[in-house]
Amino acid sequence: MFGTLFIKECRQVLKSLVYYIYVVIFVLFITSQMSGEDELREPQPGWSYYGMTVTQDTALIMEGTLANLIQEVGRNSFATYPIGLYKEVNLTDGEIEQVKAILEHCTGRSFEILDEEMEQQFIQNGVGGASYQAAVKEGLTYAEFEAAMEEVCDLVGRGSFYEKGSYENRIRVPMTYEQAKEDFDALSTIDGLTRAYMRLFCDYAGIILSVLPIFIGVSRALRDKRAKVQQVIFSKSASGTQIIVSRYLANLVMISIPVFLTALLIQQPFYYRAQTMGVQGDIWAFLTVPGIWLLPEIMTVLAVSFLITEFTDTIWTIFLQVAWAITSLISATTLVGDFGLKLVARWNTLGRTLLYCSLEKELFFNRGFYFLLAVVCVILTVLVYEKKRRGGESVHEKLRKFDK
Amino acid sequence: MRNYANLINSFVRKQYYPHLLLVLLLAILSGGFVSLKGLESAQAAKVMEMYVAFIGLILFTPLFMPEQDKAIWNLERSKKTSMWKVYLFRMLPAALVCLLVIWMFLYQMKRGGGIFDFHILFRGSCCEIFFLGSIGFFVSAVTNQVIIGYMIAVIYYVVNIGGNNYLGKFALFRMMKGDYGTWMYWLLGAVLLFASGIVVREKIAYHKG
Repeated sequence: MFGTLFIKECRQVLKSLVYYIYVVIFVLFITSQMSGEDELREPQPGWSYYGMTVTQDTALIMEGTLANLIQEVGRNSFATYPIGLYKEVNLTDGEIEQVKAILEHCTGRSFEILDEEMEQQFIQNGVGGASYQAAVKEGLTYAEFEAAMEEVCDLVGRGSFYEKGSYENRIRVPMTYEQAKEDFDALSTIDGLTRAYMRLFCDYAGIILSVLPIFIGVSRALRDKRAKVQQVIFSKSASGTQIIVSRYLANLVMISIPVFLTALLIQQPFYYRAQTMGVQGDIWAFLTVPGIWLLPEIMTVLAVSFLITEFTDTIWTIFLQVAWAITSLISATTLVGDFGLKLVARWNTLGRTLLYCSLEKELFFNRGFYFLLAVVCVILTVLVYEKKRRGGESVHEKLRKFDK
Repeated sequence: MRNYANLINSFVRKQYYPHLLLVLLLAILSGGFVSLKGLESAQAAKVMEMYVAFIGLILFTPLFMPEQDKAIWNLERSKKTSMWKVYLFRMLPAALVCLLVIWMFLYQMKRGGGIFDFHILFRGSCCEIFFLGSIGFFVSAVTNQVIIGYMIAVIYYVVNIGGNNYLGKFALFRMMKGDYGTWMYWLLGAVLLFASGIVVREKIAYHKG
């Protein structure tokens, strides 16, 4: 029974115009984004520029962050990005005094002296000169600094520069030859080239897959209602679990096929390139990397669209989920890492393998969370479906009755 | 005229009100997400292009929703009232609400000490937001599926976030980068898509009839 339903659902997907639009948009988006990504040169000593990197030097992080805080306190204008869009926060006099006290605790100097120092540095460095850095108090530990910034966050609110995820990813310094070489070696030995390319593929694919499956989910969940066959299907002997799970899995498989196929096709040139460089490429990277990176995202987006559409019998989930996806996309403090619990996990770079290795656990936690969320949403969809089958009404139907 | 007024009234009451409520919600909640105080022109343009732009998509895409049910479409076509007039009259509340919300956001930003040219940003925002809305309008007119209308309009928006090198003068988010000259292209695109949406739909109806 389950197998038959699954095949029928796959056929339903193949009859849907939304699905073909999805395939075309996905392939066009990926090929347009990935087309310029074949620049790869081993760094050589003597180059004038090896690129920039986010510094892990805690002294530089503290100095840069405190300098920014001094400037914002001076203007009493704190830039925050709660959903990725600029929101100015102004503090009360009492709150400003608290922030000044925090600054004094971190630097050992009063705000007036710091303000004076800042002006002097700006005069000395001139426009376009080195950016202002505020020297910290001798003996200030990084843990004390983190605690102080948490206090600032409590006052300023969400999305400020003083969140750990933000300040640790903001201070950029030029890369040295040794750093660039170490990164290149890790790209060859740990990633075997192909895994690094697949991470970049997942970055681009993750953007578009945070939205596209919504429409396939909504379209499928509403099709029975539109075709006026809801009651007919309700009367069938198949259980709600069989109907919903087979429907969900069929859609998931059909959405995933173009993703993995495109990944395979994009990976091939880089696999051969790895061989010519004498590097052992990972032939299965097109399955393993998107499997971990993208599959939980697709599962969640599809499951949430099923659940809300089944619950409301409307297209409202489109607005909700698009807002969720765009918020996740534009609220990222960096395009490389900062996974947190963001729906779209970004890795907009080729390489940075060592950084990735240090963040891998965070990514696994993030993707594990979304995998579980998807499972919970599917279970809830089954419950909602069973309730409707027993004669319950969707939210939309209740509203329509109220309207009459 | 009373017929048209009744048509609009019935459309808003039966089909359209959730979309109007959503726009209202977007306006009410804006204070929690975006700052409308002390913005420079690029920041004000960002609010209009990235946040307020959604109202175009929400308001113009679902205007063919009743006709998704073929029985309703056939019934409407059997009446004396021309369908293209019905569509045009449905666009009226959408356009009015759209203009009002754009004006309100700009007014609030100006009142909050914003440093930008009100008229230039109003003109640009209207053209861009109508253009984004017209994409959803046109696609749902042609496919008779509101979901696909939303899909294409949303994808157009998202593709513009990712990078808009291929979209030329029709790319979004130009004003926040200081380019205020593309409003004519947006306007042209919007007029073309709105007009061809209605024309194509009439042709579909003619061929089906």
